[in-house]
Amino acid sequence: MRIRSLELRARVVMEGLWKGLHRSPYHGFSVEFSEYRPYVREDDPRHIDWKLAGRSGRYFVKKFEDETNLRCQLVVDHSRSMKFGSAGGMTKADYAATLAATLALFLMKQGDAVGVTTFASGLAEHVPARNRPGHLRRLMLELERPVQEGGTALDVSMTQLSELLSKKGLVCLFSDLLAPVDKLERQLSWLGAMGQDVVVFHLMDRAEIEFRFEEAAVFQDAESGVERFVNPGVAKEGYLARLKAHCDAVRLGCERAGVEYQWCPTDTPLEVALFDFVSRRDGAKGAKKRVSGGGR
Amino acid sequence: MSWLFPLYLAGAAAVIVPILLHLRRQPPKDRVAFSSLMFLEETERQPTRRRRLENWLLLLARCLILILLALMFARPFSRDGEAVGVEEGDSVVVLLDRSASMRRGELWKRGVEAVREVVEAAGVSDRLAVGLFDGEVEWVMAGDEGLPEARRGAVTGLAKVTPGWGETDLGRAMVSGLEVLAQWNEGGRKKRRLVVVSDFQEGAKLAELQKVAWPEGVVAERRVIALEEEGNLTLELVSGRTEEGEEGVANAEVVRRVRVSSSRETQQTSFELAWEGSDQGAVVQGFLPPGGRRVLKMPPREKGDEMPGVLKVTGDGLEFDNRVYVAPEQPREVRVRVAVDEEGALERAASPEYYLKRALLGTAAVRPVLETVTAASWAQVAGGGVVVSAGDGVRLGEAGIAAWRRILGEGGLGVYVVDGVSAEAELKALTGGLGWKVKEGGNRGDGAYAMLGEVDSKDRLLAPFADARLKDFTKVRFWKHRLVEVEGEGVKVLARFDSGDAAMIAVRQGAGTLLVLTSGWHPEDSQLALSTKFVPLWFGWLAAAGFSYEEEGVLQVGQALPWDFKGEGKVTGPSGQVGVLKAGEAFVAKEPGVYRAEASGGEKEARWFAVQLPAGEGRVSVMAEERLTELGVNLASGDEVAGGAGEVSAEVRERMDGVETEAKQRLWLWTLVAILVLVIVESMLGASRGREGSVAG
Repeated sequence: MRIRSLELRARVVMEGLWKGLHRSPYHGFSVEFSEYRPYVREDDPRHIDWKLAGRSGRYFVKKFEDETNLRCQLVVDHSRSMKFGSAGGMTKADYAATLAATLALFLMKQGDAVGVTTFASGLAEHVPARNRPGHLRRLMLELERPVQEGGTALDVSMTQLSELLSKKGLVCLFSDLLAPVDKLERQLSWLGAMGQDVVVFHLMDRAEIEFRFEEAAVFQDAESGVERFVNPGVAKEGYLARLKAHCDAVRLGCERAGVEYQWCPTDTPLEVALFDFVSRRDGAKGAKKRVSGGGR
Repeated sequence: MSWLFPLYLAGAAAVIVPILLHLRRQPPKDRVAFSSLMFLEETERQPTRRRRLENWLLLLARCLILILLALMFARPFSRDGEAVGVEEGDSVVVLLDRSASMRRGELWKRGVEAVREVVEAAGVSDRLAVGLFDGEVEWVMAGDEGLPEARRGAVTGLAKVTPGWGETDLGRAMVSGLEVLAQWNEGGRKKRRLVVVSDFQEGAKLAELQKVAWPEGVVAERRVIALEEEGNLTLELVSGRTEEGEEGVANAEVVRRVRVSSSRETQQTSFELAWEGSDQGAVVQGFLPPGGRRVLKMPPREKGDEMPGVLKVTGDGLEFDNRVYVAPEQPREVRVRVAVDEEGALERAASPEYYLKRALLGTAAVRPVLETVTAASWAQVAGGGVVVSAGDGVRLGEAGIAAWRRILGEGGLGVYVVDGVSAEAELKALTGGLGWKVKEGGNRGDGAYAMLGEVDSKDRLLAPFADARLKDFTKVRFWKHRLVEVEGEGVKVLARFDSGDAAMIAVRQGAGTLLVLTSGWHPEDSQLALSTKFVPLWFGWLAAAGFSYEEEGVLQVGQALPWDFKGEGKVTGPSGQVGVLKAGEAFVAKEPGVYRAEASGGEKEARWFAVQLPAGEGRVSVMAEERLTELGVNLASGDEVAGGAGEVSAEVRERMDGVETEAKQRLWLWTLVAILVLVIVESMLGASRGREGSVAG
């Protein structure tokens, strides 16, 4: 991690992303992007742009600026398991913070409201989504806060979060999801039902994914402090099988809950991870607008 | 399986180290912080109480390496000949000395014992030959790869044999052994050994070894069987005899000499020389320093020299070489028939016959018996011998010529003095057709004389004058001689006068010789009969014609008696045993003593022979090793049997055998190979265990 400042790091990432976007065929990313669209039945006639209709003779519906304002809540896992990082790379916490900061910067630049929530065994900090000068600074401070002592209580945190979020918006969850996920699907569905557009960034270190250990050793759980003697030669196979089952469960749960799932190994460059996310958002955006935006 | 250095086997105890290391289970060194253990199951730890051998294969390899290392240092070898496989064994030739010197003390018994040890130590696949040697080699076991039982039987048979009286020809024996090894070498045997069991006395002959180059790969082993150093006196007969006495005096005393020598170790310096048995004669006492020698006249014998005698020296502990055997004097009788015209010619002064009788008085070797034969009585003459016609007008007549021809044809000697032209007819008749021409003419008169100018002393008949000191005939003057000319086969002029006229002509006549003299020896013709040359001249003729026994020198055990048996004969040995010989066979004496040889054929002849102990046998000190090595003998180092009473202990010999066997088998090399293989296996196992992330043992 060459750049210590989270904000600076986020800016670097964002500029790279920006440049990449300008050159890419996928332009038009923001949810606030205003546009005209042909009038279809059941559209409110009040939204018809009469001036345009007068010039062209065809009806177009005009979207209002404030309608495209997005409230994005960045939910970052600050449990101790996030402190894990294989030698030389970023820890998952660093990666999550950088990713969240970049996204925050990106959204703030567009005029969207961004908030940050951190959690561990429960919700730790909650900064509601706003868009005003100085807010970004607060977000950065929050994200830079060292991770909490304690394990991941995903269900508790999600429940608390759903109570705090009252308005519709985007919820980006950055977590390694190293916790029982049997209730995760229900809670994500719940958030979705509350009108939240949920994106799950599933962060995993490469060492966790591939379990590249050779020497038998006592492994210590970062969250609970539990020690367990593990011989990788013996345990690796079972570990990988269980991990795969876990990840599959998370991904399937997300799919069933209609939640976007982003697989983020921490050795993937941040730009790539964001680019993937942006690309998919762009692809999903039109359909969403038609469903939700048409009602306004 | 045996070990050269069994102490190293204790090193195998080091296997306990890897075993303990394997038993001591190392706890995991470090703790690894991991994000979550929710997917990790605890690996079952091996219980500490029930310590299991981890990686037993690895442990096995490591233990084996240590054990094999210990084995390698202990230098294993197999004593069993078959255990090393079907490879060829050694070639071993064992030579046991059976010369006279081995009769001393218990040497023979110990020698046989030493041979037994060598034979029993030989492997089944070894090829083994055992020979006995003195002057010759006799093979007892000739290389058959028999079973140990058969070999043992052959060696046991040796104990019944007693050593002989022969000389020690160590050189010849070793060369024979080398020949045997060379024959076997075709089989490509691994090692070739020549084991010599002997007392290695100083007197042993080694000359044969100088003739051969010691072959590569053959190792000679010296097994010295020797007694404690002990003084020894040796009595030897000195070759040759002299006749002492005033010149010209008949029947001079025959003197023989003996040599007494003492070994370096001798303590006692006095000795006594005496005739043994009933033959009481004079006793000679003397002193001799250690290592000294003296040549002494034989003491006179009371009963004279007609009987065999044994002269003995006393004064040391070793009896076997203390005797010298003396054969009785035995001059050969030869009949000399002189043609005369009347009886009593032998006593007529100044006649040639007169001088002849006085000259032929007999020696130790020949005893001439003179007979006079008139022309009428030649027909009655029988048998061979010497016939003489001394000239002076004596004629042979027809009967005489016939008798001469017969005698000459049978190998006799005729001496014919030409006394005038009338002799020409007789010479022609005697020689059957040779063209003799005889002329008067050599008479100088007026005090003039002729001398012998050329004397062919190389001829047998003039052999006594071969010595330059005796060759001077200038003092003999010849007043008269006849001019004789003859040419033809078998004619040789032995001497000429200074005028070039023939003086002495030899004619081969059948098996015999006719000597023709052109001048008589009596004073009327010459000074020959009065000169010192006359007697040696006659005895030289007699000897050359085969009527004298030749000086036999010193006969030794192992030599053939110098007796040419024309017919059958028998030899009576010193202890009374009789050997019968056929014509042409030679009799070889096996023990010292006096032998009597008798011809049972036509001639009733008998002769004594004294056979002595071989000269070198008395020198019994142990030979220096360098004498063998100087001759190129490749002596095995360090494994000789120590001199004196000491024999190498069985333990030491076993160890020496072990060293040889080990060097031959080289099992340690295979052990080393096994160790290397195991090290590779161990490395591979270790690497694979490391990959599996196991706890390093």
